Amino acid sequence: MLAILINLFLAALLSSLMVGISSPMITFSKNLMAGFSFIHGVLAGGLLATYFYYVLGVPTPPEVITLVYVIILAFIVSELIEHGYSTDAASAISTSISAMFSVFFAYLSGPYASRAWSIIVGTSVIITPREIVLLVVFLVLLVMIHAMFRREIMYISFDPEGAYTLGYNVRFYRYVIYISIALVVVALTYTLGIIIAHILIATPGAVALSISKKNYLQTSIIISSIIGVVGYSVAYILSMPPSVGVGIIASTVLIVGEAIKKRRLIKIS
Amino acid sequence: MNGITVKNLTYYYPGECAPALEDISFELRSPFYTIIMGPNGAGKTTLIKILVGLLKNYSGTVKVYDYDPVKDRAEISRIVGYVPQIINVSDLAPIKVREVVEMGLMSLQRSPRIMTSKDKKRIDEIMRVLKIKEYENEVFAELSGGLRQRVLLARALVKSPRVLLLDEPFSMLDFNIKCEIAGLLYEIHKDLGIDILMVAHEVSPCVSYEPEVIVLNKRIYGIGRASNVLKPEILAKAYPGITHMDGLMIIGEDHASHPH
Repeated sequence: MLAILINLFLAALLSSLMVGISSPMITFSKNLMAGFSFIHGVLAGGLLATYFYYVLGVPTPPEVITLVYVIILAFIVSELIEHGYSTDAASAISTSISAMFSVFFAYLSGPYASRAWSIIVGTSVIITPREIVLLVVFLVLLVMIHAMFRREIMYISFDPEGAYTLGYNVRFYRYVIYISIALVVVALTYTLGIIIAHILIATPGAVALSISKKNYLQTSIIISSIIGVVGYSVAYILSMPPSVGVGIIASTVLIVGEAIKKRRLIKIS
Repeated sequence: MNGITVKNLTYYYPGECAPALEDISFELRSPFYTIIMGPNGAGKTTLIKILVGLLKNYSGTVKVYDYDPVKDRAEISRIVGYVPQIINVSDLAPIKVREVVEMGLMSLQRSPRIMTSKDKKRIDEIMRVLKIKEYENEVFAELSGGLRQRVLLARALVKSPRVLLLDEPFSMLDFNIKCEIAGLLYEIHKDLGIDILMVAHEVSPCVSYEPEVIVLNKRIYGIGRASNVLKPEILAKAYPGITHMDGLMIIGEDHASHPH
């Protein structure tokens, strides 16, 4: 029992850290729609992984197959933007591709398709040490990407045309952004599920950027840790799926964030 | 040629039947302090974007200090300081003033871009020149329009360019701030020997510095000193919305069309 609780706490903490680091970047680089489309991609990738793993017997971990699928999707979105499509249009196209593949791979997977249900609702109630290791690996990769390219990610989010004229390789750094989003959504969706991943990738970043632009990263990490750890605890106490607890706390944080922002605006005026 | 040469330049935006620029030719020899003026949709921003290499599939010849903006991208990045319209930079990105200026200098390095003490001194120096040092830790999006313009100028200047290409540097500013920015640009031109080419709806903030003016509305209708070009007969051709009334000339802000 204690081991399950520790795993649950670790999963909450690790996924919160991932969200805390990446959510502001997803928000300020205006890639929320792309993030949401990649979450749909995780379902298609998960069904592809199910087909490979259970039907064809390929021993590659499903998370890796899913990650590869979402990274391919990230390249498609990035190239569409490079060729003049808006982020919204490129994201819509990628969502359509994933919807089509989801149905196709579900059909191919036959009775095993029901295993993809865990992607929709998450697996964190019964999270295993293997999944904790996977979360750690994804978190380390994400931290490395952000440590190496934080500066350039900020530059191309701030002024992509200006960055291009200065000689920055905007196309490459856009790939970097999308690969880091892919890492986050795969990890989040596998542990928490599709529904809550939608809330989590947006909330901490949006709230942090609206209440403290100067210390947005620290604020986002604190917010996402509160949402993750308190959300899981609430879900455990109320004997509900983690997505319910996390959803309740995320909504509360959003309301509190708005109240803080309003209070500040009143003070300024 | 030491300057900018444009010969028979025509540009169509993808999917558009009407050209954004139609067979334009001009030469600017260094040193120059030049304003491109014209109504909305006249192709002013398009021209600047072609000069910095942001738009590619044009016909004609474009040379910026003998470099081709598309083929010689590295050289163009080094010698051109581009200042975009304030509305074209994101308000969402929580980038600080110092980081914006660093963006200009770090572009000269390869990844991983490590800031040296010499770089830090250069950034401090340029921020002092543009009087933005005290705002270095402020978030760019939270500054006034005039300060934002100075920060974007600092980003362009920090890498010591030969020419500044500015897209609407006076947009959304009060008239006194417009004059302040025009004066600052003239100081940069005179003191640092940097050529200036800017797009503007109005030349009045700069008139006292006797700029060269290019009147553009898809084609060039006039080029030369402001006193020679800003004449009713030239402006009437370029501005379809122009009205004469008891000795006054009223320039409308209509969208550009082909005045024939």
